[in-house]
Amino acid sequence: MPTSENSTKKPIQDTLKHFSASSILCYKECPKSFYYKYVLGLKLPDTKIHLAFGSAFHAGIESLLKTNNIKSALTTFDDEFTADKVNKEEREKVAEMNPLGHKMLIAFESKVSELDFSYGIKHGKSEIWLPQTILEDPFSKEKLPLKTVGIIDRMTDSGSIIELKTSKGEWNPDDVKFKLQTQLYSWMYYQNSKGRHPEKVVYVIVTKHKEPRVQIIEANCTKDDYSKLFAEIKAIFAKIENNIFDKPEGFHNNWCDCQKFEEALSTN
Amino acid sequence: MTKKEDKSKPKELPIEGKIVDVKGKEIPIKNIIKSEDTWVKENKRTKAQKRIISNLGVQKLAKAAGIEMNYKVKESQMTIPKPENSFLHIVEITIRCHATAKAKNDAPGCLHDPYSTELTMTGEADLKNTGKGGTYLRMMAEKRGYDRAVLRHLGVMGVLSEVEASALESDEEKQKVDVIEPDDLKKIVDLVNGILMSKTKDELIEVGNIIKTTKESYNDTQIAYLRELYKKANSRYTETF
Repeated sequence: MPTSENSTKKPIQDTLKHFSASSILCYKECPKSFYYKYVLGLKLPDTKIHLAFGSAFHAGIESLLKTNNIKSALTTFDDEFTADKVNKEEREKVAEMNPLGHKMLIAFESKVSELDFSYGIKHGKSEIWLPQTILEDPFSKEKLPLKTVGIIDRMTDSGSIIELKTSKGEWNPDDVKFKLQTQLYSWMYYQNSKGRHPEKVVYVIVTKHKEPRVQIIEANCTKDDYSKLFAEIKAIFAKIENNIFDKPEGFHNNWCDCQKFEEALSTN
Repeated sequence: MTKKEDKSKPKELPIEGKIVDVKGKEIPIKNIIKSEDTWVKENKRTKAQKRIISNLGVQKLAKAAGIEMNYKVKESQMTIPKPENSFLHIVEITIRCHATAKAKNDAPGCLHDPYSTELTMTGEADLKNTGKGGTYLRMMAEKRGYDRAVLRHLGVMGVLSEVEASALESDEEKQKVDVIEPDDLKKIVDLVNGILMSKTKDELIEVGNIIKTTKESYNDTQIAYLRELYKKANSRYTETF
């Protein structure tokens, strides 16, 4: 695989059709993993239990917001979080994690009225694909060479972006503003609304504790944030164009997907 | 890589070659260095063998050939070791040969090189091309430069110096995955995904049938790789005791 700066430079459009918050995050965490996933287009055979859990939890919340009925939400969760959806090694954990999912949905339900009062969470649409956007620096008007794609967990009728997260612990409220996902979605919204920022970007975090807690964090981004992100993404594109897909220097998590891709591709 | 493992491999590759010693006499290399000074490294994929010579072995050759044990070292002015370049150390090593006694026609060089008594080679080491020597990068770079310079000056071909063996090892690590070129892999990525994602034997057989019917579209490397990957996936469904 290409790993050195000596390889021939290739326009980014020859490598990618578009980019998203997850692809940029993936490159930042491990360029090698990015290479396998987004450049070669490889898929990993196993679904991690936490991804399956998160996706079932989202389905449960969607059902709750639609029907206003917790029982329906719990049933949806049960239907979605099944053993056949996770890898063999983790199947036994599905039954263990099921009650936690229920508790988390119940904890979320207790905050729905507050979330509706503050942001109108009940009035909106879930899983909204933002229009594919060619983002530009708000100051220099320089454009990124690829379209940006993004899916928002919930967009309220009043113009707030709501992201639902499950997490092992509470988040640091100060970090949210700097989350790439927050900034990118906010920037896309800003550009598609001809200069209007989203009403609010809200993170609703439900912790995976025995007694789950619900944390609500608001963030607002500015044109300065978009401009900084523009420079960061441009630098990443330049690296991709130069075929730089090395593993990160120094400590590297041994659970990184790059190792799973390598194991899967190895014929030994 | 550990030396121990490599030394335990059968040494089918003889220590070949000769060098011209300080007196101008041709001497077989095997008479200067002992078998303990070398070992055979086999490429796991291509099965090609390389004779690896230790730094001590190179020093013995240098001494016999009249190369001064003292050598000049020049640090690279252009490259500063830093995390971004995996702490790349580059040094220039200049060796000087004293085997000039019988140089013909008052040539400016030595018995090994009629044009010069000196030879400069570069040695480089970083975290990616060193094995356990990753903590002594500067020293590794110097050793590599010295070994290269001596072997080049004496015209010893087909051997690698010890410190470069770790670079060879890291290449092989890459080859474990890169048994197929990225461009070749990209063209068969759907089939590869099909094999990797198959959850039952029937699903795998289905992918196998697709490969069979479309195999004319792929080159030998691609077919060989798909066959190996299929075999590996199939072993998941093969009962054993």
